[in-house]
Amino acid sequence: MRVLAALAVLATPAAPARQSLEETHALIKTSPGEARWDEIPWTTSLWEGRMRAAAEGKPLFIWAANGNPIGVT
Amino acid sequence: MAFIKARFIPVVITVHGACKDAEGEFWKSFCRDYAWITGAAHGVTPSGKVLCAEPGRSSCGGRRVCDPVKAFEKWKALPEEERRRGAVEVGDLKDLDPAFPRRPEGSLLLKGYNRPLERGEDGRLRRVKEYWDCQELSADSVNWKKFVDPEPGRTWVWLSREQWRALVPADPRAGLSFPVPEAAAARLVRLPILNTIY
Repeated sequence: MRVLAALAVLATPAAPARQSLEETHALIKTSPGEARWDEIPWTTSLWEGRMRAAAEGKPLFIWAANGNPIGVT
Repeated sequence: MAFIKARFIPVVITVHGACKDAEGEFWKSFCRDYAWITGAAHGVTPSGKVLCAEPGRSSCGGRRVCDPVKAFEKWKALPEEERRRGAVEVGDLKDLDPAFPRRPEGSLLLKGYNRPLERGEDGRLRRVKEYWDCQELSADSVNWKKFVDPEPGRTWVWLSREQWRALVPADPRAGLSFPVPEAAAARLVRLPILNTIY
């Protein structure tokens, strides 16, 4: 029984430590250089992008998702 | 990123293949394989030629990020008359599909982040080093992937004018406490726990 009790103590996860909201917030947010796609000046209109691509002689690089990845419609 | 900025016109959009206007028709002209387009990147010419198509697929590049270097090589291999400035005439977009969802006037858009955390031996939260996620490509095809040092996901909370105004007390002053209105509480607290799309 003592062995089982000792194992139970070992298996017990550490009690949650108190962390400030600011500290947790910093853990969740992006760190510098982490989300490099954010550095791209995305156009949010497919048609506007097509017009620019045609006028400038460039192809389009389209990132599409079910729900706009940068939160704009 | 510099390559994409210099060589392409980068566009980010919501998938809206059902849009009944010229923009929707342009989209559908090269993205016929609807299930494969979301969450992916696609290289496309102004005339609607796909530059990242996979073998065996007629349209977009599937659930993977289009390699911009390879896409640009395909672009450069096209005849000059297809690539030159003004080769494709694109007029102003008229007669927008009124059914296309738009952000309500006066609404606010809150930007948020979510990231998997774990508790260390000291009881403190920390970022996970590895994160596994899967995509169900079909009934018999599940694609598990390991992400090292995953970046946070993004969440977006739309609050209507009525919802955010309900968060402002009629008599604001320091120390004032009041219940968050039910509708705003659901959007700010409950729905983010369920999913990142709300």
